[in-house]
Parts: sequence; structure tokens; C-alpha cells
Amino acid sequence: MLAASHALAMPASFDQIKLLERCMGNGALMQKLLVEFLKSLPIEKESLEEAVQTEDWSSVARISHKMRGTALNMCAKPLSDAALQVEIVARAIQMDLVEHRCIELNQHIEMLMNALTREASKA
Amino acid sequence: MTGISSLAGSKPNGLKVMIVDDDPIALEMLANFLQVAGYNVELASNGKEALEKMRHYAPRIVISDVDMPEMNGVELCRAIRNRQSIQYTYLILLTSHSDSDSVLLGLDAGADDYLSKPFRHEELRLRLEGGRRLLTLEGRDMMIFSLAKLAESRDQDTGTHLERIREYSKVLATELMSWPKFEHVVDAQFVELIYLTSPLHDVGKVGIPDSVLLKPGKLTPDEFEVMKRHTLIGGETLSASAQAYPEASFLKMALDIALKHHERWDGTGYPFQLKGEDIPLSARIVAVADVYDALTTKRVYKPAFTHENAADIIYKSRGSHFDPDLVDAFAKVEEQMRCIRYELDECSVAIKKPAAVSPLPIQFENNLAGVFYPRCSPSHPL
Repeated sequence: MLAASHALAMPASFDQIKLLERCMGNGALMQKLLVEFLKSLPIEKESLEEAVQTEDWSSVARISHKMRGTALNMCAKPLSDAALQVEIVARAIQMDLVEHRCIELNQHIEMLMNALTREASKA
Repeated sequence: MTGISSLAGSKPNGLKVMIVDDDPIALEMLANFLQVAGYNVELASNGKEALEKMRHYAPRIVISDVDMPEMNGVELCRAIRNRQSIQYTYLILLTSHSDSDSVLLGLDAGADDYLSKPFRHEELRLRLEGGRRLLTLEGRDMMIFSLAKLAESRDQDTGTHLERIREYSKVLATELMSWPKFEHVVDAQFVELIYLTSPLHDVGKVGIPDSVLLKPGKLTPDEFEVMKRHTLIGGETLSASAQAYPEASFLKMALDIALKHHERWDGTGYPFQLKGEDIPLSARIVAVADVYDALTTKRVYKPAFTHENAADIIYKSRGSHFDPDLVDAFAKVEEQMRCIRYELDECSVAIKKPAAVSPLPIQFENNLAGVFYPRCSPSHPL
């Protein structure tokens, strides 16, 4: 189980103390949500890449919007900020910027997944 | 709980809440918060599923995301508002959208409130309390009117009397709002309260025996004394409630009206023979509304009078039975009173079927004796 005592060792990808607060101190729920989040990220990432490749900008905006909402709930602010940037350029159909913003988003996804995996292995 | 005003901080006691979101993480996090707070929670992953579940699970509050597949949150709000429902559902939209267009769309579709993701615990708790307060008020209003209807149900002679009384009282109070003399007394809240509480004016009739209340013939002096007790019975009942819930202003007004709507401006009314402004304004207003309705309605012991005859009697009672200001207000809104009479006249006696309207009997020309009850002697005050 991910314990609050591990918080100081956490990378900046997400704020575990805040997340535990949002779970009303329910550590089991927090762990369950982290596992779900970890599972959902590669799927969302793949969907996003597919939408970018097919230049389906409304799907890019929708997927990044959803990712942003989930990241906010999970106290993963860097990912949420990166997803917002993708959503903004996708809604404005600024194709030249979408690819660049998506690369940045993917980097945040990777960082977060690594952090979550490390935490999961500690637990 | 010690009253409506003390709702804040009270437990939701299993109030049913439905959460609608296509993000399972958001659903679980919110569900956990609500369950810890004492709510009974049901989940749905989109608007369509929510509507299906609502056939078997009747939530009082729905918290919905906006962007969802199948049916989004705005469409869900619209669908809920279009349903024929006996109870109000409080709708909160929860989304990571924070732009004003989304807010407008949601509110226009019938949402009551709007929150940005990620929800803050304290903010959501307070907004839910706001929703519960509204739902409690809805329950209060229905309960007051049901109580009044229950009292009225024993007397089948009065039809939609309560509906008319509250409309007449509202019209008269609204007129007084614009008078400088009443500017610090009658405001929008006063008007709302009198609309809410005036139907309770005869609630004390539940304590009057059938032999008196339903007697088709004239009342003996003793029977009339029993009938007059309805003001005291209503007053005692509402007084107990007003003492138990001192912050509930509607109970104070309901008490004033039930106890004193048969008092007369000149001090010859009952039960206390109060005079002039010693009679609460709400009771003076309902006195005019009640008499106007009694006059223009057919009862087993009297015919329905035309609006003109009823108005004439009220004008003649200026300064004796009625507060002169109220009679002057009546003169200003006479046409509205006539319209209400027409709109809410299920018996169609006074205007829709003029043939059924009787000319003013001679005994009503100069006083109102017998307008409410057939009396043994017209010398008794009402």
C-alpha cells in the first residue's frame, strides 16, 4: 500500500499528500485509484497519438481534456498543465503546435508512469 | 436538527445523490467523499445510463460531468427538467470547463449550480447544503399547503378556497409594497410569506366537531361560540410550533393569521376584540381576502354574490370591519381580484355562469353577519 510516509520521496509528478487528502485519508482508495490511473495512461496516450495521426482535432481536444480532468483529480499538476496545452492548440486547430505539445505531454506521461510504477513496486 | 436555519452542519441522513461521470477515477473519488459525508450514492457513466437508473433510483441531487459520451451533462439536465416528476431534483454540473459559455449552457439547461474540477471538499459540501436547503424548503411549502388542505378537506363546501385566499392575499400585499406607509413593513419576503401561510388561516377547524362545522342550518349561539374557537385552536397549534422553531418566521406569520383573521378594525371581532393596528397586518390582509372569497362563493347557507356586490360590501365595511388602508388597496387591485376569482373558480358560480349569481340579500346590505356561517342572529359579530 502506498503510505503517506513515502510522500517526501515522491517525484514532483504528483502530490501524494494532497491526493490522500482528496481520498479523505483513505489509503486503500488512494492505492486503488493510482493503479487505475496507471492502467489508463497508456490507453489514453495511444488514443491521443491515433487522433493526432488521423488529424482528428476534436478527438485530440476531447482526449486531452479528459486527461487533464483526471490528472487534476489525481493531483498530477504537471500532466494536467501539459494536457491543457494540447487541448488549447487542438481546439484552435494550430496544427504546427499540436505535435510539439503532444511530445511534451508524452514526456509528462512517461515521467508520471515511471513515478507511479516505482511507488507501486515499493508498496 | 432544530429548524431550517440550522440545516448547515446537519447530517444528510442518506439523502440520495447520483454522480454521473465517464471518468471512473472521478466517480470513485467523489463517491467516497459523499459516502463519508453521509449521502446515499449511485453512480452512472453517462447521461443515458443516469436516466435509466433514475427509473428505479430517485436521487434528490444529481452531480454530473459535462463532457460525456452518449448523453452529455447539459443534455441530461434538460432531460431531467423535462420529466414529469413529483419532486424537484437539484442539479450540479461538475466539470473542468471554467469558461462562461459552459456555465451559461448548463444553467440554461436547468442546472442549479456549477462547480469546476477538481472539486474542493469544503466548497462541494457547502453547495450540497445549499441544495438540501432548497429541497427542504420545497418540502416545507408542500407540507404547509397539505396541512391546510387537510383542515379544509372536512368542509367540502369551500372548493379551491385556499388557492384563492393565497392569491388574493398576495395581490393585496403586493399593492401595499408600493405605499410609503408600508415600505419598511411589506417587502418581497413579506409577500412570499403571506402567500405561503395564508392558507393556514382556518387550520384550527380540524378541532371543530362535525356537528357544528358541517351543520347545514343555522348555528345556535352556543354552536357559534364553538365555531369561533377555530381561531384559538389554530393559534395554539401554531404557537407550539413557533416556540419550538423561533427562527422560522413563517410560523410567526401563520400564527398571527390563524389567530387573528377574524378580528375587526373597530374591535368587535374575535377572539380578542383587538382594535386597529393591534391586529397584525398579515391578519388584516387575510381578513379582506377571506371575506371577499366568502362573499363571492356559493355556500350551502348562502348564494354567491357578484364581484360588484362583494366589493360594495367591503367598501361599506371600511373602518368598521376592515382596515381603511386595506379597503383602499382593495380598490386599487379590484380587477386583479376579479380575475383571480374567475381563474380559480372551479364552481363557475359568480362570473362564468351569471345566472347562478344571486342578487344581494337584504341582510348583507349593511353588515357581514352570516357570511361565513349561517347564524342564529345577525347581531353576533363574525
